[in-house]
Amino acid sequence: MQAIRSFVREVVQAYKQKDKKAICDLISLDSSSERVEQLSQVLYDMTEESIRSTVAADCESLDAPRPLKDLITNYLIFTIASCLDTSDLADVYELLSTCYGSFLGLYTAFDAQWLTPLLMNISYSLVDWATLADKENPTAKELKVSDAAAKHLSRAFNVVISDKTSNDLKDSKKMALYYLANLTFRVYFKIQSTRLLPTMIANISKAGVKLEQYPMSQQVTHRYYLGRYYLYQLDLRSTERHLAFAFRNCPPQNPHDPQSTNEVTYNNARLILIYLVAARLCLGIFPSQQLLRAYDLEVYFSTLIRAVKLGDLGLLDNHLDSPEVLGWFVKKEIYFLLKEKLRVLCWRSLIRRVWLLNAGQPRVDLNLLVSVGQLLIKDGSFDIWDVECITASLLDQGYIRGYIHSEKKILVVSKTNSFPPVSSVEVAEEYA
Amino acid sequence: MDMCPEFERHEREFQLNVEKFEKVPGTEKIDHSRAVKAYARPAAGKEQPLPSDVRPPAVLLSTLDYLINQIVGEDDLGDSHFFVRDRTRSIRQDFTLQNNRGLEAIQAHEIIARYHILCMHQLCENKGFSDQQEMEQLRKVLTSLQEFYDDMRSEGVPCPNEAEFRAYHMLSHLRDPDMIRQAQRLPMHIFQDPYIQVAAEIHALTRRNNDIRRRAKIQSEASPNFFSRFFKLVAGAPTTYLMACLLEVNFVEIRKGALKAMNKCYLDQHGGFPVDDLVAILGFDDAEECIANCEEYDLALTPDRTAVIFGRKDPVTRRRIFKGASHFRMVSYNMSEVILGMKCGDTN
Repeated sequence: MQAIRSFVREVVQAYKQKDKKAICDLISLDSSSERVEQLSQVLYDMTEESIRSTVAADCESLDAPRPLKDLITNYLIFTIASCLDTSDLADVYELLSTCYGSFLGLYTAFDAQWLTPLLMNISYSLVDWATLADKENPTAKELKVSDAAAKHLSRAFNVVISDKTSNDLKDSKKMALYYLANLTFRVYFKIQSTRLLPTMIANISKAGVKLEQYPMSQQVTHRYYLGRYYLYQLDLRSTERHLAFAFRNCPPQNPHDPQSTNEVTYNNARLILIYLVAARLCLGIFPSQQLLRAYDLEVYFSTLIRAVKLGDLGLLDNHLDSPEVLGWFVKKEIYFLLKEKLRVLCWRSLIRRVWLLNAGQPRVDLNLLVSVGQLLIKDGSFDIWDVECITASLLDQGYIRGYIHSEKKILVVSKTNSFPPVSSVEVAEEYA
Repeated sequence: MDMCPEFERHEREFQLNVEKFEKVPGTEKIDHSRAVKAYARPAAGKEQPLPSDVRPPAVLLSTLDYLINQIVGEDDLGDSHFFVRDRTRSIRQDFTLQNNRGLEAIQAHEIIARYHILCMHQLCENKGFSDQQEMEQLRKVLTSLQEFYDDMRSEGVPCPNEAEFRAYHMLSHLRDPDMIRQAQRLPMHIFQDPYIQVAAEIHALTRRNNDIRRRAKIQSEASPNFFSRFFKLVAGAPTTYLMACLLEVNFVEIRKGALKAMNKCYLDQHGGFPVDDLVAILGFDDAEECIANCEEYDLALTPDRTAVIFGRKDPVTRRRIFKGASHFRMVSYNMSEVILGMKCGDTN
């Protein structure tokens, strides 16, 4: 009992003094910390009713504002539940959710910037506990994480965005902007809901802050999610831009060093790299074998690269569909992307190689391509029209420069730069 | 229970709001045994429907049965379209009102979806038929189905037709890459179902980046625009009759993308591209349709009108043709009998 009363006193004092560090220490959500352990041992012997009345009485005598009393009460109730093995994880989440609500009650005050570090801690915990609760009950109709995001994170985000008090980030609630945004993105990706992403991205851009002002880890995380989002939209150049930055700025470490404690960063870097490689392949930019090897991605991508370079359509499809890697590509949601786009690039390669075989003559016989195509694809329905069609498409997009003489069934390529490097081919903004 | 609540029967008879399918033949009186509950637009100020007026699932299914077999089956599709469309909308509404999202709801929605798809093809040349409105309804039905399937999966109940309707859903948003993303999140046995694979293939074949779109949908690098394979696939066995019906609405756009690409790769001095070949490649009904299509885009023809001249530049601006094309929309599109005629044996 006494320990609780002194806890309440300390919190109220920290609040009145706007002591950032103290409040984070006191309202600790780290269940392995000593303070939380001590607290839970004391709380264990108290009923919920007695916790409430003790806190209420003390807050009254210390003249603490009501939202603060609510926060302390709910925090304590949450803490005891979180430490019990017998607790239902969904219930624990709900308690934390209530606590979060009380916290936001305090945080909306115009001078509450000093509480921002605590906001970040408690938001992280909220998502963490929601994830745990969902793991226990994965088929529930309403996932706790989506509840967390929709109800709480979005409110917090609005509070943060509307803080106009200071232009200096460290004195503004906007310090938490990207932290919250990243947490929210993590949730949206987890529940596979891309519907709300564009709104979020738009809101962030209106907030008047620059990503570069924030810690690099937040920048990297944020650009990772942006990259993933643009990849969904098939906006390959934007994807490439964001993921390249994220990958470059991931902390460097040695992935094969067994002593390395940077397993997390290795995994993060690898995750970024997977999507970066996928996007870049479709833009005709190939990673080196060393890079693929360093991140254990050879088995997935090496064959694809070889297929595109050779123009081997059969190899491309066979590899993507082979049981060892099919599941992986589908899970990463890049199966259809690669299948669709690398096929186009294969055709470009194939036509180019046939052209090269002709000792640089500007003519390519389309009928020859039909035979080659049929060999590779093993599809009897493949005919001259298909060859002419895909060639037309390649010409149209600028992958080949030249023209087709339809009657003679010949592709005539231009004398210079007949097969521009794939990476230099840009999608037209305005088609003329 | 009846297909239509009693009060409504009398009310509509009084208001002279009885469809011909509900009348006693030769009179203006309502046939109480053949009246079907109408769709009631939810409006502010209108009271909640009585629980007794909401038909239970079994009745909804038998009503739907009646509509499909007795009305659509016996009568002219176009003639009965307004009636059936409205009454099936009411059936869906009743499912929503009682929050029934189970197997009966799924069964009803599947049948209704198929009906809409069929109408989109069969009625596309009818006056007064709006493919946009039909597509709007269809999309609503398909979206509901996606949610129902998700619910059933979380309860561990398999739905035998799920792949078919997931595929229709994908095809009803042909230019949306998010459909592809979603397909990859399906359980493996559905993902590998031919319906899904064909739908995804169609997405890939029709993706192109030669559009002028002012409010840009993303134009993506390495887009196939593989129109010849598309029309072959639509005509071929893996594409079912209903899938083809659903795809028909996109033919105009796909052909436009094809003609644009072709316009960029042939030279106008080499004679034209034979119309007959174009008809074969792009699945036109006949030469007339092809020529009309080309002329709408200001593509020139040879004097004897047997070939299209690609690669011409507009004499005034020296730019290639099609610059006016973005504002143009073909009012009627003819379905290719050649393509779909091959599928009439399909019992779908």
